[in-house]
Amino acid sequence: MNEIYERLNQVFADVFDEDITVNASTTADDIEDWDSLTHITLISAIEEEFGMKFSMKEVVGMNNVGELADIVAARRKR
Amino acid sequence: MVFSSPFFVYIFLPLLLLLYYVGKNSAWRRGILLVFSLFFYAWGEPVYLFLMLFSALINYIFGILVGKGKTPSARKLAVAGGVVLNLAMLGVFKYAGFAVESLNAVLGTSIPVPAIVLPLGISFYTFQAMTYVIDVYRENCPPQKSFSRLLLFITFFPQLVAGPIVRYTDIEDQLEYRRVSAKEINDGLYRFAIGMGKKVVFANTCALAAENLFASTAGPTVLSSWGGVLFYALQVYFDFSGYSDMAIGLGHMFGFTFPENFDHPYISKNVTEYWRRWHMTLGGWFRDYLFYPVMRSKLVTKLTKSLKKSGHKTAAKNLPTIIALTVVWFSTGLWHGASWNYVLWGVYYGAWLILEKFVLDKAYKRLPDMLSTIIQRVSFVFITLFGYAIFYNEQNLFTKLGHYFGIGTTGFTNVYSESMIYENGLLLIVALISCTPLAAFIMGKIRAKLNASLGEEKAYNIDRVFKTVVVIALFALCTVRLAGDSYNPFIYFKF
Repeated sequence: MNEIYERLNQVFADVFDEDITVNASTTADDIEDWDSLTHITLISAIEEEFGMKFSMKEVVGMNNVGELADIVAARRKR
Repeated sequence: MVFSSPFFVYIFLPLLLLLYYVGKNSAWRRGILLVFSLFFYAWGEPVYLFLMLFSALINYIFGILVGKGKTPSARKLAVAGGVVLNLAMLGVFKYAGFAVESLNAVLGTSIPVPAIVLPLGISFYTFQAMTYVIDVYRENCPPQKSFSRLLLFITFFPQLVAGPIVRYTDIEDQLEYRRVSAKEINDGLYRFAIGMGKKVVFANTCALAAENLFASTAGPTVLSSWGGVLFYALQVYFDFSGYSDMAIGLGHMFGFTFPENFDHPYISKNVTEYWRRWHMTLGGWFRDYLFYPVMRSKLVTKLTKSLKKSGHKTAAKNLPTIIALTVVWFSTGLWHGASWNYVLWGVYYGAWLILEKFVLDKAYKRLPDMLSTIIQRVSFVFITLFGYAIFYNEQNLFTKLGHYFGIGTTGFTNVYSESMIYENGLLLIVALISCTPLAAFIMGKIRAKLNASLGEEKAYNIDRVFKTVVVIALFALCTVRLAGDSYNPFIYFKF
């Protein structure tokens, strides 16, 4: 799980152009530029980083970074 | 049928409420709502009622097909079929004439333009129906097995002709089970009365002021143009948000909770914020059902990858958003009407949003807070008003836009323009204040005070009495005004 968060930090830093450390409870409210437009750019970047594709339901339904990391972890087990 | 008409308020609605509440079981109530909804639509559009029924049938069938699809590609095929058919219906009945006209203009041909009257509410109910098929595909909801339930969702009269755009998933459960009590009916009536007040008291009077300024017999001036569009902006807000209030209120009366559609849009700081507060259900629709799919399409993904490979990192990050926003706002413009001024209006807003996101927001951050706030607020007012100038002028757009900058006018101002502004000065001030959350804020404060000093229960009763008085007063006022007034169309019926 730690490794997932490290890689997520890197993706967030790339997308938002600043040093960001995320944890399980980070939400869009915590990051100023994280709006519904940037959300999808972020998702695409994460998909590329981990080499997976989320469903639209997952994309719209994620409430915080923790849920996002859970989805990534679950996907990798399969 | 129009909500703010005596027939609706004094015959249709009371009769419906009575019949709805005499029966206790859910099937009876659904049946009553369905029958009244179909009657409501048929009142003005008897022929196109069949088009709406056909639309419901198609979406019902394709919803089932998507749900039954065994393989991903079968499901994809079914959802694509449903979406294409919905868009085809919209295309034929809303855009055929416009497409042929544009073709004729470009190619110099003279293909006869089909004379199709726009079916009432088709833009709204088609978009609502599409959420159903797409959400079944996305596994946000199971397909609806009962045709009558889906039919009620698509034809339900409160939000049928002018929004809010209710998604199937918004009311999926409420089609089965609804909580209704005296409180819901009271709250619904209050909300409906507020909406009717917005419409009859503000929208209709602002409409007259705008028309008088635009139709200035002494010739257009810069002042009459900006003044006129200011009243038009107020008219559209009170008209459209009033309609949404009435729809939400009506939903309440029957135990439905519809999504909110407006959140004091004119207090926004910039265009980005404005579109989060204005016609929220349409913005949400375009975000979830067009923006996201475009961003995740193979074409855009491929483009991003190749840009990244060739070392254009910034472009790879920003270009997909710019492309998707352009597609979305071109479509948003076109959705509002089959005319180029609407398309231009949509692209105008798309351009501002792109500019704010990628350039202006960063620039403003470098300025002192105070200065950046002033610049943003002042420019927002002019951006919005000029947007309305594009939106309003289906004919002679560029001549009319010239007037805003003194091109083709008889001067900056004249006696007529000034007297018109003076005459409507009080209306302007009261209307502007009513656009802000001030009233809600004051009422919230009073309520909190009452809660603290009298206790929740007494405060609630006072609130109840107050709201009842407001409802009666507004109904009386609106009835009087409607009896003497011939001006009463809802703007968003056009779309």
